[in-house]
Amino acid sequence: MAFWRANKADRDRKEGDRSPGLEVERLIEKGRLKDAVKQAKLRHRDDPSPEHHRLLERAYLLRARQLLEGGMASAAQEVALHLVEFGVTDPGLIGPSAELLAGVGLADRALALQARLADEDPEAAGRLLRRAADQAVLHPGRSTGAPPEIRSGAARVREALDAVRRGDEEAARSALKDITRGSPLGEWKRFALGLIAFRGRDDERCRDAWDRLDPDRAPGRIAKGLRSLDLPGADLDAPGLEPIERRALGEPVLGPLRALGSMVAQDRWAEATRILSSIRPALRRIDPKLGERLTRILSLPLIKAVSRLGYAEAQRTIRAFIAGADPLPIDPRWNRLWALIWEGPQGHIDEAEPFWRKYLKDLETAPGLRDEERPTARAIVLTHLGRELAEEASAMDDTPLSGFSRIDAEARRERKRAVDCLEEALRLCPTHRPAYQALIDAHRAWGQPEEAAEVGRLLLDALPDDFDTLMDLAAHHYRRDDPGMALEYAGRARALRPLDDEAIGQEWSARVSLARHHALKRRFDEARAEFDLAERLRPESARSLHLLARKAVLELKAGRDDRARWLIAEAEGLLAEPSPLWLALLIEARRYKLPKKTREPFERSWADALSKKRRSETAGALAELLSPFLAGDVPYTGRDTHARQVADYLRRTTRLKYRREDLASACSFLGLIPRERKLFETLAAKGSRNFPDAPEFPMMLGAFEMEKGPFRADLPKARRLLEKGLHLAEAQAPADPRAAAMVPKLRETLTSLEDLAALPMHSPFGAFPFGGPGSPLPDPSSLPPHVLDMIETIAGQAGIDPEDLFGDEDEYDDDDFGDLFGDEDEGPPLPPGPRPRPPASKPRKKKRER
Amino acid sequence: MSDPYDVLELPRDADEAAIRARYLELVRRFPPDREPGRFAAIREAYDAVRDPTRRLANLLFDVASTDSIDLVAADLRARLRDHLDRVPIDDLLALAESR
Repeated sequence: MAFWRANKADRDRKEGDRSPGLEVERLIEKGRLKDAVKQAKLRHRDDPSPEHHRLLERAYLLRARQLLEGGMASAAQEVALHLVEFGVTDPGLIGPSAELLAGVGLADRALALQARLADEDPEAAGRLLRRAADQAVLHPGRSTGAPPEIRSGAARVREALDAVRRGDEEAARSALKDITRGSPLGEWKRFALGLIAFRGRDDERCRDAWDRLDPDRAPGRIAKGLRSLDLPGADLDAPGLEPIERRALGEPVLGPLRALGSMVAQDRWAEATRILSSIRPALRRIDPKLGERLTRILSLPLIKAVSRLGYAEAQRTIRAFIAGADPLPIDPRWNRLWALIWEGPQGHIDEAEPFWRKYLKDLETAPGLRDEERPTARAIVLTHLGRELAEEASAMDDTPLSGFSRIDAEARRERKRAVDCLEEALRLCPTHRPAYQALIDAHRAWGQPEEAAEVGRLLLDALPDDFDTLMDLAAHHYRRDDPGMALEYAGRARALRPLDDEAIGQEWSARVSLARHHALKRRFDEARAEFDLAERLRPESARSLHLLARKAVLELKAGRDDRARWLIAEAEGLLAEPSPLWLALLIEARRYKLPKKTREPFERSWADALSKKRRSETAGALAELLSPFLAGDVPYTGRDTHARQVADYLRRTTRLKYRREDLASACSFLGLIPRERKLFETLAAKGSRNFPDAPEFPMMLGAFEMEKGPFRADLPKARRLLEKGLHLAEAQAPADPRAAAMVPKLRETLTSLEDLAALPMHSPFGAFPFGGPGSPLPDPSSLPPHVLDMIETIAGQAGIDPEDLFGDEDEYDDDDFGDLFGDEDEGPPLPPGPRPRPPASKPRKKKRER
Repeated sequence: MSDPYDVLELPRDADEAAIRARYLELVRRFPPDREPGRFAAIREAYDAVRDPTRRLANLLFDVASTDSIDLVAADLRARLRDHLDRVPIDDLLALAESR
């Protein structure tokens, strides 16, 4: 080593010989200031020229500064003394050297040096005194060179600061009493007064004092660090808090916390969990709740993050997190977290269920719950699980393989699991309404309205004043053409909310339906009485086409042709053109079972009307008249023929000028007929074009796009349309009740769109092998072998050709139309005007395609 | 609507008594005649959390948190401020030389 050093010194000297001074400059540039001093000394020893003297002065100065900035104040002081003893001859270095001397506690030397420049910089002495004052407060032991008055003042400042720390405000103020604000220690007085306010949480006074501090002086820098603790608007990233954290909290945690946040934001969970593990003991010591708090904060980001990872990495990440984090009191064994992850966007309820079952056990003893809360908590979890299982069973109904015995048997098993779960929830908590509702929704989704109604009745046994259930049961009995029961439930609902418009509408519907029942039994006076009561509920309905047509048909059935003619004339007077009236009379004549001879004039008038010139007002009225029969699936003989005739009528109106409401009615009607997709889109696009401020057209188009399903729908287009509709509806909502009513529907549809876009695609943790929702159906040859195997196995078991699963997307068969144009039979009535309530089932979220 | 627990300035595990006490306190601070908007928000938040079953369901299933690591750090800084008496004067003064 000695040999190497000798060689190096020799080499350095030789290099220096080649370029005296340049070598020192090079070392300075590189920050090798210790070597620079050594080299400069050699240069000066070999050739003590003024130039080499100045070079060594500069090297001393820079080296002393470097040591001071590196926290080696004593060494800096030593080098500074060398500089003073060596002598400062460079006029440009006098000022900086004086500053340095003051900074290392050699204030007397600094003042003496600066005196040489007194004429050039008269304020320098004040600056040096302030620097000396700061040093005397910060490092009294190193400030023996400071003037005595500064040293004694600094001691009083320290005494005051210590008194503040102890909470002795009086002693602090007393110690500061003799320090004037203009003195070099005045800044420290302001700082100490601010500190008193800071400790007393008097933010205003603290700000008053500290806002005036010089940020380049020591008190200003300390204040900045302290303000980062929690003064509003302060810099949150002030450095240097670690020693304070160590003293106050036991160890530094703010830095690691900042790093944790950064790692989580970057989805670097391996690093994040390492940091979490490392600070967990410290957090526990500070406050046992802090660990739980972090778990609560990180749970959702973790769930989202692992859904994007491959299976193995996701498992590793979750396990690492669980090992490093504190469990929540409501999830002591992490089973809830696992369950939530497994049923997340890429998971499946089959994998989540075992964890939910374990979680149900956990809830029996979980410390986060009181004993009286446990049954309800378990009922809530069972309801959640039951809902998920019910949705899964519904998804199996929708699969292309449904209808095959093996698949159907599995669907039945899934349904039973769901029902068992929900019934268990109700055993635990018989008044848990969400469990009843989940059962009702499930039965409806499975096409079991009677079972749904039975659960509704059980709900009313437990919660007799449940308005929504009363309304649902009224609607159910209305749909079953049982207006007596419908009226009973509607009456109970109205007793709870006499002014509720929906409840009034439901009772109106029940009474009008009951009138028909009376008429069919030839109890005409009772029928007229029901119409009167309906008119009292909705006085404006007395002059509506719908009610007048019904009343006219009732009178025809009762043999009062004169009254019927009068009512028909009154209805005709309401219309610019009578075609809708002929259709209304024809419909009611069939539903009231008028003899063919009585019906014939209406049929002729309707047939004539269809051959006349098209009018957009008539198109709107016809669509509005027929829509409730299709939307409520209320059959009557001839309904599908009428629907086809009205659709044909609309087809020949695409070039007509429409009023907004007529066009909206036409679109609503066409949206109910799958076969008329193109016509619907033509007219809805016309609506969007002609009425750019109307929210209903983009809403209908967006919903229509979504109905095409996850593979065929253009989801970005659907989102654009729905968002446009929502924007327009929200803007018009304050002045237009129709627009206001669209807002919640649009929001709900957008939420469903999010669900559709997040459909799980065959893999528990990401890595979807297809193109994703909205993409075309995959080419089977592009599928991974294991996915193709799976499809072929399932299809084979069901006895179908797997290739049929990837058929032409534009093909659809007559089944798509349901019974709309199929068999026709007499069914329950549907009162146009106030429409009956549709089944209140939550839009079903498809979990995945099978 | 904002998170009802945030509006009421309550932790998520607050019990019924704590919720009611905080609601009454906030109503006294923001009475409906003087601060109708604020009162409406408080009332709405109270309605959302007062139902014990709904509250329990939130506790069990609502994994979204309005809390954050930054807020935890802010709380820790506040604790530091409260515990300055434990910090020797030289450690405090060392803040002047931190970079």
